[in-house]
Parts: sequence; C-alpha cells; structure tokens
Amino acid sequence: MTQRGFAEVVAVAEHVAGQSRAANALGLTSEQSTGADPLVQLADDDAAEPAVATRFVEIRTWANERLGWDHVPAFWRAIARRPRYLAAAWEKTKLVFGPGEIDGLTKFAVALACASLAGNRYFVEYYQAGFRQFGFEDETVVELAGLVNHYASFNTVAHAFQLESPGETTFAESADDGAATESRPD
Amino acid sequence: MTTLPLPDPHDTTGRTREALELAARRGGLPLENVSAIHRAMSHWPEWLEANLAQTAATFKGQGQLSALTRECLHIAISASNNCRF
Repeated sequence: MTQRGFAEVVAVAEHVAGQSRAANALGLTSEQSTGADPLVQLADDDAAEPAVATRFVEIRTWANERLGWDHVPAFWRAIARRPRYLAAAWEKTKLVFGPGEIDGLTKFAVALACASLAGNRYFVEYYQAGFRQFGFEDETVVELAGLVNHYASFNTVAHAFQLESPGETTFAESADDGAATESRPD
Repeated sequence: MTTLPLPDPHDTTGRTREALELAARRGGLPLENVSAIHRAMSHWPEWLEANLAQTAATFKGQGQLSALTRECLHIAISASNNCRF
C-alpha cells in the first residue's frame, strides 16, 4: 500500500465516522420507515431551492448507481436544511468515494466497518447496501462482520495492555507494488 | 510500559506454553517471536485459545474479501479505536 492509499483509507474512515455521528444527532436510524422518526424534518426529494435541487439530482444518481436506491437518501434530505453543509458534505463524499488507489469495494467495506464502530444503524444500512452492490450476499457481510469483530477485539486488548507498536510501517513506492505493509500479529 | 509484564514464552509451562506454541505455529513464527498481543493474552491461556480459534474463523478464514481489503479494514478499525499498536 502506498502513502496515498493509506490516506484514502483514513479519509473514508473519518468521513464515515463524522457522517455516522451526525446521523445519530439527527435521529436517523433507518432508510426504511420502520425505524424511529428522524428528529428533523426531511427536505422533499424534489427540493425547490436551486442549490439543493442540483445536489439532489447528483445524489439521486449516485445513490441509484452505488446503493441501488432510487431516491435521495434521508441523510442528505436531512442536512439539506443547511445547504452549505449539504454541498460540502456531498463534494467530500464524491472525493473520498471517487477513483483512487483504493478500489471502490474496499472503500465500501471500510465505510460499513466504520459505521458499525460508530454505532449508527442508518449508515450501517446505507453502506451495507453499497457493499452488496458488488454482488455480495449475507455470507460475505458476515465475513466482514467477523473481521470487525477480530480487529476491534485485538484493538481492545492492545489498548488495555498498553502494547507498543511492533515497528515502523513501510509503504510501497507505487500502487502496483501491492499491500506491502509490515507483517502484523494476527 | 505495558500494564502487565508480558510472559517470556520460554519461561512458560503447561497450558500457557501450549497456547503460545499454538499461536507461534499459527503465525509461522519461532516461539520467541510470538506477538506481544498473544503474550498478553497468555495470562489467561483459555482466553488466548478462544481468541486463536476465533482468529482462525475470521481473520484467517477463507472468504471473498482480498488481502488488501482486509488490511484496509485493519487500518480503519484500529484508527477508529485509537489503537496505536
């Protein structure tokens, strides 16, 4: 992995961490109507304000392609109450999930893991929809959940025992060199 | 400094030694190089054994996610959990 690839992974992680906390603050629990009601009024899919309407067209297209949802997801409709926030958050989403050294599947896997760590049901559902768009079914979702289980468990042990880092991490010169990080304990 | 001293694998006996030897074999390492996290867990060998079994079924298990995706999950989850290790 290159330094740029590492930065892309961290960018997805921090972006989803922030989104998930915001969704918690807004009371978003599910894209379906089965969850509790959001704590803010959601803008209509066909928003009247031009700056919002333009973003909603892009978001609906993206959601259809990447999540398999044919509507503007509730999160974006909620934050549309603050159009500058909507614009900045959407532009950042396009950037961090856009083309780079890390493939789209890996970015959605990271996003799903980070939404689960942040404890937000809404974005777990959102990014799990994106993850499944790569053709994965329950077995692979559980495979990913098992990895979250493993890493979160070992993080807890390492933190509790105050274990020191086993060494410097080295990065590949180019993306073609593959995942050339140090050997990690399992 | 660690919270508890990490046992030297060569000084251990009985079930602790067996669990550390299993961790070393699973990692393809000589006993003296078994990882700090496994040495930490060896304070309760049954716990280390349970985690080795879970690791075999998750991290080391067969699946559809690539090594790169798994490594990226490792980075993102460890960063989210403020884990320097």
